[in-house]
Amino acid sequence: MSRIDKFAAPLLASMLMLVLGSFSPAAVAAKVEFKINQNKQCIMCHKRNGKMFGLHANDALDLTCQNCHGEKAGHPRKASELIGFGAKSVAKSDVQTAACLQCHDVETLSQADWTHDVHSNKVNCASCHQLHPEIDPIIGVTALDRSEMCSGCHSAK
Amino acid sequence: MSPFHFDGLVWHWPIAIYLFLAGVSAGAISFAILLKHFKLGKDAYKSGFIQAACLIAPLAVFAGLGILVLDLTKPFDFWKILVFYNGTSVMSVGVAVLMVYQLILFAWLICVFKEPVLNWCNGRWPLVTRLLNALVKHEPSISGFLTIFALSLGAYTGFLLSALTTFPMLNNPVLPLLFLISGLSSGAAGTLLGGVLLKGDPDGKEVHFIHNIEIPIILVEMVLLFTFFTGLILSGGQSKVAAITAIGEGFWGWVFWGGIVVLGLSLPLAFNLFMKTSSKRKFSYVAITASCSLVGVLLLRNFILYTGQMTVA
Amino acid sequence: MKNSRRLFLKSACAVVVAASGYTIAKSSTESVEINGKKYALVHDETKCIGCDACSIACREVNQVPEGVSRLEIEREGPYGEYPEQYFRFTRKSCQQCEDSPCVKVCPTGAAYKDPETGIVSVDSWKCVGCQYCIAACPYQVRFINPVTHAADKCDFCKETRLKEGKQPACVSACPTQALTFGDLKDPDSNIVKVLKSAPNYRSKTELGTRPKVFRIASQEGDITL
Repeated sequence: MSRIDKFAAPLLASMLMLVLGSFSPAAVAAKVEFKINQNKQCIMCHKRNGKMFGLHANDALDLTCQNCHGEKAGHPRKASELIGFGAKSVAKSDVQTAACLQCHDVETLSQADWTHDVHSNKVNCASCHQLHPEIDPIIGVTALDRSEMCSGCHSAK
Repeated sequence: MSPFHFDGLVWHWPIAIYLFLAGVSAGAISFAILLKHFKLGKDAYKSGFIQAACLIAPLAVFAGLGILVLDLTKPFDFWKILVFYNGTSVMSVGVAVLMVYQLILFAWLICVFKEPVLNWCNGRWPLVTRLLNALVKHEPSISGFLTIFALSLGAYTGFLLSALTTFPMLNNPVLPLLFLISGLSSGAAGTLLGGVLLKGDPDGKEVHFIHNIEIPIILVEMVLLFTFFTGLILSGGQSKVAAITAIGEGFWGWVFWGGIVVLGLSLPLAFNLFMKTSSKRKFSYVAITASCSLVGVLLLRNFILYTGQMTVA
Repeated sequence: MKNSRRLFLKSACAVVVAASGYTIAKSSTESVEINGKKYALVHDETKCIGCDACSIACREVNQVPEGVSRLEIEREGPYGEYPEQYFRFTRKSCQQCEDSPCVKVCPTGAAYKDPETGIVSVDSWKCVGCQYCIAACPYQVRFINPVTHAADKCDFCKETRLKEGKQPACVSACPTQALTFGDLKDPDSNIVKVLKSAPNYRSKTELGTRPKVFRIASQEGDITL
């Protein structure tokens, strides 16, 4: 909880600035690039599939790609500790969820939605959440879509 | 839990008022019959108390039915209750009782006020006179049936709630008796209050007669209330939970102990005993005692209805 | 004269008592003749994942307005410690009692048990909205439909899916096949097989309602006293 508070104030402030900024004619020309996307080490290669537009990209959070994906080490030629997120990733679900749980605590997740409890570290977070797009598609999902997401995996047929 | 809004609450205060009014009507007319039969005879219509009872009984039952109809989600379809009957439904049987009760009630009222009605007609309409005389011939049977139906009506208000298996506090065999007896006492109180307001003698034989019956009725009511809650507590389980929720701490606990036990039962009992022993009966004494009883019974109806729906089986 | 009047009154009382006693006795022994089907439902709580597919399908098929519902899945939990946590899911809907309190109390007969299927139904035209049935239902699943102003509840899709020869909406929608619907009187039906294969329970049977919604209890979670 306290972690969120710590971030909330600067986050809101910078959001406000973004909104206000978008109205000023000077800012329209050059869209502000988030700091996270200026990370040469990653973006040089991952220009198309690596840019962050979501909430986690916000400058106030001061996150880097490495915070979630791990250190480059020998990547791409040699071994590394890098992890990808999603069902196709070689990283197991508990390894993937551990990356998220660095900041998000179990208690708060439980309060936000009960399904966090039952999927715990057994299902990777990316099965429902996507952080790279501007808006996480799970936000404001309709009851029907949500239910269909459940049956996408839980199906006896 | 808010006292007037909680999960599972289906019936609100209009139903409590309806139950109260039906009880008052049944009680008032029962006392009118008793007064006429045992004390007043033919001159009954001259008594302020009889007049009061004869006003209260039909007005209360009409007002009650009006509230009941307005409380339906489809008030304009109320006639379907009169057309379609279901023998297993307490409400359906109750509606039938109410209808017959009103018919007999009016027949009896005509019998009681035969003389003034005939005087007013002054032989102008011979048919009316003939009908009246024919009706009056059957007055004993009418009185008898009216007593039966008034008591049925009083008990029905309790059976209506005690048929609900959902709520252990309401689904209680003592409830119909409790409602019948408290209905009678509210009818007595209504008759007394109305009587003294209509310039009846507060030290008259009517008041003596009613007070003599009221004292045992209050005592029986206390015993019934005690049995009601002791029975619930001894039943254990949800019944016990229901009883403790009702008369324990909280808004309704205050209503029960302060409003029903003290104001509605103990004070009227004390006043009645005082008036009986001191033989002092003044307008204010009679009116205050009767008002306490009426408020107590109205509170009892609301208390039972609301707290009854708080605990589910 | 006086004696005959007393006799008359006494016999009148006796008749009233006898008549009401007869009605009560009749109502308690009476059971609707069984020539038709006896539809019932099993909710296997061990398979239920609480996805609400059933209640969403129900709302759509039966045009249940927002704010009220014929079917809800109630969630209880979480039990246990992270990451091994569980929920229990129970179905809240009409229990299709054989001895239905709502049918007994309805003053107009708007609440009735369909003799063909054994399904407890509502005739919304006959309903006047006294809400006696809502109070009488120990499962608290009845409600006033804000559109029709009549009492409403689950009827196993009698007026919608069953008429088309299909299974109730909830049963078809369930992704884990936790719901089984069928005729209890057909010994070869799926529902009879399911009921014979697993221990099951019904809610509040102590009230004598004889519900036709059966449940296979979830084994997960804590043991509560």
